[in-house]
Amino acid sequence: MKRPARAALVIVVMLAAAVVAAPALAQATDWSQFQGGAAHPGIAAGPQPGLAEAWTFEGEAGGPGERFGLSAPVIAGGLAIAVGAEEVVAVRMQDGSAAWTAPKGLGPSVPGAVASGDDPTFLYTEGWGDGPPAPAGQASPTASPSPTATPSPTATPSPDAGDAASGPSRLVAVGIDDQEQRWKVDLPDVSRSGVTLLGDLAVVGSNDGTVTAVDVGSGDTAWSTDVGGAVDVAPAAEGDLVVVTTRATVDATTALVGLEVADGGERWRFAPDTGAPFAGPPTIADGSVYAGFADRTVYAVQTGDGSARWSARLNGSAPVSPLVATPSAVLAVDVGTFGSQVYALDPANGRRLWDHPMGVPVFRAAPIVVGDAVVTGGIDGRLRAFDLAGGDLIWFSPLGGPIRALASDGETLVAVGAKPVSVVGYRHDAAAGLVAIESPTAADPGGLALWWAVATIVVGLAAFGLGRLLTRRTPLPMSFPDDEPLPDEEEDA
Amino acid sequence: MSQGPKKRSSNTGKGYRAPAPTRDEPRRGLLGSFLQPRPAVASPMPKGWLSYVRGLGVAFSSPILLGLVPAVVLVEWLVLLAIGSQGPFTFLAGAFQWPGPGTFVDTLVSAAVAPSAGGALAAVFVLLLVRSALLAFVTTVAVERLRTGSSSTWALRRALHVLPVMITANMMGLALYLIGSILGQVLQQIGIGFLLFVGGIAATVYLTAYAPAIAADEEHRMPAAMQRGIRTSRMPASGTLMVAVAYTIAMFAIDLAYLPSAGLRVTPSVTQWAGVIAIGYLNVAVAAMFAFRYLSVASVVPEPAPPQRRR
Repeated sequence: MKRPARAALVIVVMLAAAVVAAPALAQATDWSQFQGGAAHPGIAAGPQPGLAEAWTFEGEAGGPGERFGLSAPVIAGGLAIAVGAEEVVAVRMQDGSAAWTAPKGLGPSVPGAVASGDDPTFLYTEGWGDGPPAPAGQASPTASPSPTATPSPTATPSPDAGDAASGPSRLVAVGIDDQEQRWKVDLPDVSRSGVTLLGDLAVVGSNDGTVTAVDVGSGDTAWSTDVGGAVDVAPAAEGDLVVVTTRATVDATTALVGLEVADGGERWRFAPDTGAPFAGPPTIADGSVYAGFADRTVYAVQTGDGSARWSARLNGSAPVSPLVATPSAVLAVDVGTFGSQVYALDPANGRRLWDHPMGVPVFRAAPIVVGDAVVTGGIDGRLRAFDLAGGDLIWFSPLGGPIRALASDGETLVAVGAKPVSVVGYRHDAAAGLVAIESPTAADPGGLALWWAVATIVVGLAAFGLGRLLTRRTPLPMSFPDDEPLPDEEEDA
Repeated sequence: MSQGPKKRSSNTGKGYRAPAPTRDEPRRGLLGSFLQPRPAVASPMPKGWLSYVRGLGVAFSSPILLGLVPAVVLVEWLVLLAIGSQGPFTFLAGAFQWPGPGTFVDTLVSAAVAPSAGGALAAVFVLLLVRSALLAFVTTVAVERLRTGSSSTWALRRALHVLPVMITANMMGLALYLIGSILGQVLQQIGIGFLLFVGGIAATVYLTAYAPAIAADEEHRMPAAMQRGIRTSRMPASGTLMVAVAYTIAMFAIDLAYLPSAGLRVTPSVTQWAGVIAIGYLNVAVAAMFAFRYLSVASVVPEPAPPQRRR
């Protein structure tokens, strides 16, 4: 009888340990690349709104004119890592303190990716070709070597940063533990796509339309393929498929292109002939690829052959940020004349489930799902959380500087801000007030009729009273100079 | 039952002729016409504010016009909702705006509701036709009330005669809007782009102010009504340019400041309804004002110069 008792005790202890550890395990997950994974799911277990600011890391703008901020962050190993124009910044998720800063060659602030393993590495792109876009009235500066290293709390030697002579752009891998360069690969043109990791393969797009896949372990180029238009948003990948979005060119329309992971061969191309000049990054989920195009339309296509499943019109221009595809809704944020609007579309047919206008634009920050809410970050610096099921606004933060990107490890939501450049951590706070604000686009026929009737009666009566007053002074009909009979009329009489 | 105003042929007043310059008149420089004191010219055209007060009286004492505005706003909003639009609702403040400012609002609304550039162009024409029909009816009712003091079904029938003139006026507005936009873009560098853009809109108001009232009151074909309307605007000291500029600036301020204020919203608030209806009333009064001003000078509008004989 001893053995069963001991076994039962062990089981009880293990269950107890599991119960205690489960929340921590569920909450602490990596967000190791843009939108949390190669397919860009954009979904984290938490933190559930309401949220409260837990910490703030204050960064510095970089690049010519110091006008370039930080990219969307990735989260791994307790660090949030973001790419600036001239440096890579790592912030501790625990308290927002700087873990390290590593200089890099001048280049666009686009997200990198963390390749975990025995020697975890961070991959990013650098290089700006002839230089970044100049502010109005200034000539574009030429590419310059990396500036001197920014003092870092845990100062480490820089990798071979700023080797501008080796080409217009490079994919670089550095060790997360020592920030030493592991390898560097030349790219054919400036890369703004960020890095997508699928297993041991890092995939990046370039402005000349080239998609390059590099082996993460060795730094060898696995394949390179030309898809036509510029690939300047993050590729998505899942299984044996890489999907990229190409910009329209003189002789090609904006397209989603499916590539074989094995050799980069083109599997399919979806190119709606609607004149859309560009499209947002693709998202892959449940056998479908979703992307928003600049023709105000979200398209869903089959991963197998790229055939169209459905399309859904939005009010505003294309979602420049990736969509989030949950089992119950495909979430998109557009950029319209009257601010941005968040939409929930039915994954089966694209029917609009709900939408909620925000009144301010959301330019860069891709929406992410945390728990039961979808969170967006506007240029007014306000985080807004919407109920995933019904679209009600359930929480919002105070105003601040424009929000550029969001990420979450399940426990802490990280928002990258611009002006001032910052990384802010938010955690769940039961004391943070929740609200329940219904979307102004929700129909209310009774209210519509009532307010119309009230306004009509009030304004109509006021106008009629004024009209009576005026016509009492100047009665109708009025007399005009030509009221007398005309000569020919007199003769007729 | 009223039979509407008497149908008139063109008036028999003498044509206006500028006085011949005398020999001893000093030669004018480039800015001579601006800098020299203007001769006092007596004009039968009522002053701008007086005209507008008369227009308010005509429009606001008409239950038909007072009922038309909220009914049209409600129907247009329901139609926009039915085709998937979510606003801004305050765009409907442009429903009764005169060609020029109204054309500008048409382009805003079409861009907001249409899925493509082709669709937006089609939407502009649909909105243009709807606004033409509404303003043709409003102008005809105003003319009938000014002439007879009441409204009848004559106005409805007569509005069909006015409709081609109103459509032409709106088409002219669209053309000037496009020209103003293009020139505005081209000349933006030297800082007069916006001025040209607004100038194009004001020019539409100036050129089209009286033609619909002429078509409602007199038996003219569309081209003749348009030409007579322009001659009316160009009468010395008519003040039509000032009226057109003042109206354009006022409407432009509303279009830019008030129209987007509602944001995207399906159920407008009571204040938004009230604002849009009130702006609609004020625009109906503007149409009545133009009718009043024309009828005040109809007998002295210069006739076109006779065509010169070939030698």
